[in-house]
Amino acid sequence: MKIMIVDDSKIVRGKISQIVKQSGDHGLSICGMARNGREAIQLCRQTMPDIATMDLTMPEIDGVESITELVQINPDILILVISALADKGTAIEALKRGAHGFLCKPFSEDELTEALNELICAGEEA
Amino acid sequence: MKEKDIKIFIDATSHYFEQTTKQAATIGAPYLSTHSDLEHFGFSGLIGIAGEFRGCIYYTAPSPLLRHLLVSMGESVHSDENMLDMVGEVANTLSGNARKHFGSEFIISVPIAMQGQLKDVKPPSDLLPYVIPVTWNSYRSSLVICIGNS
Repeated sequence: MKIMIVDDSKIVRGKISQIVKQSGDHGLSICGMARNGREAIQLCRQTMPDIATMDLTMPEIDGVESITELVQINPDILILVISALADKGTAIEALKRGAHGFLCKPFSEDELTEALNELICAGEEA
Repeated sequence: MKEKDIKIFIDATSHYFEQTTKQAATIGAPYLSTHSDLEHFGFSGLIGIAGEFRGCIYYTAPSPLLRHLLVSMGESVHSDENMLDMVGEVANTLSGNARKHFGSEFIISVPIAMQGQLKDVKPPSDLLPYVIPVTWNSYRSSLVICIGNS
């Protein structure tokens, strides 16, 4: 399965990437990383990832807008929002737009691994 | 700002260091400061606040603290660029977590990260800043909250 990592922080992209590589589950391979929604949409068209981790507060095109675009490009994409925005309204809006899971920053290695596992299992059941 | 509002930021800060580094931070007693007395520690990440609220929040920390945080995040390159990224991400996370309490009309900007003094930053002069002292791994830093209702 191909995974795309979207976050405006290089440090956070690196941390997610490291955890994905270490987990070894589900044969996940990173097909690219994006710093904002515009890059994410472009990368999605080019690589058609199965999974995307998506930050919300980003320059140019934010995460919520990006989710709508990504789902239009690839209706089967599984999107895990990873954001510091901890209010319920934001999570509900992201899910309405087509995200499948929500992980609040700061997150631990175990939490991200578990969230990805849940996302993939839910995708297999659908 | 009420006491319970300040507590939200204290809890978010404690949780951030605990979760990210597995090492607790010591949070000092928050105090009301003035714009001219604010202390800066070398690197600062600033978040603008809009919506039902206005003002800004920033986290300011010295480079040794940020270097240790980068290690905790698995980052081996301790460049100024990465320290700016790190300080911006801390500010973003603490501000974003506060929406659990303030709601989605507590609109936060993308982080602006700066090195040195905050010369070009002009927090609203009618709002006094609250300073939350944060000591982690023996290094001092501060979370500064300067917000009010719109």
